Amino acid sequence: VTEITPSEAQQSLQRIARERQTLADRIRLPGWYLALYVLAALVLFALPALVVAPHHRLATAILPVTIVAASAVLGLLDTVIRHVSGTRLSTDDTRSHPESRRPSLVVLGVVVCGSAATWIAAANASWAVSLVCGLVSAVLLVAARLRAVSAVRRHVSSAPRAAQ
Amino acid sequence: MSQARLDAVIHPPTRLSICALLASVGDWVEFSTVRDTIGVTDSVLSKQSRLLEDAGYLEVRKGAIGRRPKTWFRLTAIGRRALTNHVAALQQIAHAATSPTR
Repeated sequence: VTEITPSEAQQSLQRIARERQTLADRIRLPGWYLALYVLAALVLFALPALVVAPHHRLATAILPVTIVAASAVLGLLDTVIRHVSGTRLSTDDTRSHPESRRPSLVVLGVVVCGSAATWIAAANASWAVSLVCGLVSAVLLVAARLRAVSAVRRHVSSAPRAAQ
Repeated sequence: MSQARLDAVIHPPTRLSICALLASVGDWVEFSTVRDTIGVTDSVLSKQSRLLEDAGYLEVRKGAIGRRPKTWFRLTAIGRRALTNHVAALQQIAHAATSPTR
């Protein structure tokens, strides 16, 4: 290979960093999807309270449809990211980008614990307690998902590593 | 520390950009995404990606979404290793200018 000057090497490294940042900037959730995601999280976690709330009881037949629909919207996250970014990136692919491992585990934990807490509160406490648990869980879920997306963006934009 | 060497295949700016971009994702990246991110034309990207593919640094997968044909790129393990060494060499050269001499 031809020899290059230090300034040329510096320029090459800077160009790589700039292009990585450009790609990272493409990895952002569209506003319409974010709104839909928040709505689905609220519906999913507020459902137990709505089932037992006085004067607001949902028909039993609506429950499974609502749960499936809300879960489908929540699960579409990676598909949307792939579409807007043009990459096969997944927020749950901890092999390609280990930085997203912790946020993804937090998402799983919030879904499991939040669902359990809201249903247990609805069955044993009151619909109001269940609703509060649901709202808190929904906020935590959205925050955890946004953190997972940020982790992927950080991974893409991070500086290239040198050989060890 | 061992002396890293510049890689002749990756050295040209466009090929370095392609490899660095694919390495940052670690998975398949769509043709138009690479083209738009590094700012080259379709023909330039096709030509440079073919050279990288011939060197075994790049995998190409062709498919379609609906009726629209799509091309995807991914860096191979050999390509990733070559890029890592190349970037290390660039960093050594760049740092050599800034570090004080004895």
